[in-house]
Amino acid sequence: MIKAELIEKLKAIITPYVQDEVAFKNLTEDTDFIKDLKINSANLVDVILDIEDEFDIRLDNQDMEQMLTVKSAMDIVTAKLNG
Amino acid sequence: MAKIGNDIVDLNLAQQTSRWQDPRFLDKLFTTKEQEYIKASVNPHTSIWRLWSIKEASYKLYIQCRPDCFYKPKAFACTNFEAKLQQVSYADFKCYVKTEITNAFVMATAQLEPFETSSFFLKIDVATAKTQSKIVRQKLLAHVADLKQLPLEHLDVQKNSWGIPQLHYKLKPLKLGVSISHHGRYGSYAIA
Repeated sequence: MIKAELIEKLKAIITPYVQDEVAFKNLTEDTDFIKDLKINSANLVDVILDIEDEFDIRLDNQDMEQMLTVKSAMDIVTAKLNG
Repeated sequence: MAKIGNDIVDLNLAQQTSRWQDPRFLDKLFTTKEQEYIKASVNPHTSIWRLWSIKEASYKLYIQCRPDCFYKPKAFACTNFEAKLQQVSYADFKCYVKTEITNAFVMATAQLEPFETSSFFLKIDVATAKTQSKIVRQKLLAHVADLKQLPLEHLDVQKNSWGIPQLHYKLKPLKLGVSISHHGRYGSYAIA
């Protein structure tokens, strides 16, 4: 999957949980889900479940541990899809 | 400096926005023992968010002790579910958490010593997260001003690069640990 396509899919997944629209508009790979987008930490697991469903993958605790930025989410999804 | 972590969950919002009924949800957040406790409880939804708030408050306390940033809720394990104070452990880190439950929210306060300190809560009737956060901060500052007999206009609270709130008086750090949380229609703060 090309990078731009992956970012678009991730953006669609996180939209319902985003609480800072300005940060969302200016989203880059470095954007932090909690610090920048103000996604409530209670919803981070929902983001992870939605990612699992969208890409038909399963994420273990080690994968989850670093899933705090757009870049880390992209890296983990890419690794799973290629694995 | 005394440290404190807290968390609040609006039960109504959590019911609507979370995939809490998905079996994978439980397995990602909770240890086997915690899952057994949730499944056996009279109100699994409340038990889920009670345990979640315990883990989140403990994590917020942990990063004050050892600044870091990660998402590992399952590893913050709670064992004594029915006790007055919950004991939570994560590797060699241990803390004590007090929870309070109403029909509307669950609230947790974590400390390194077995103190029964409560967080303060407030109802917020505004929509955006930014405004909610501002209201909780204002309330916290007013409380600190009263507690320490300091003029409110010289008090400020800012999050550092780890996302840990730090009080300032006349732009200098104040040695008083605080924690802030907001979710849905509720906000809460704790003062060590």
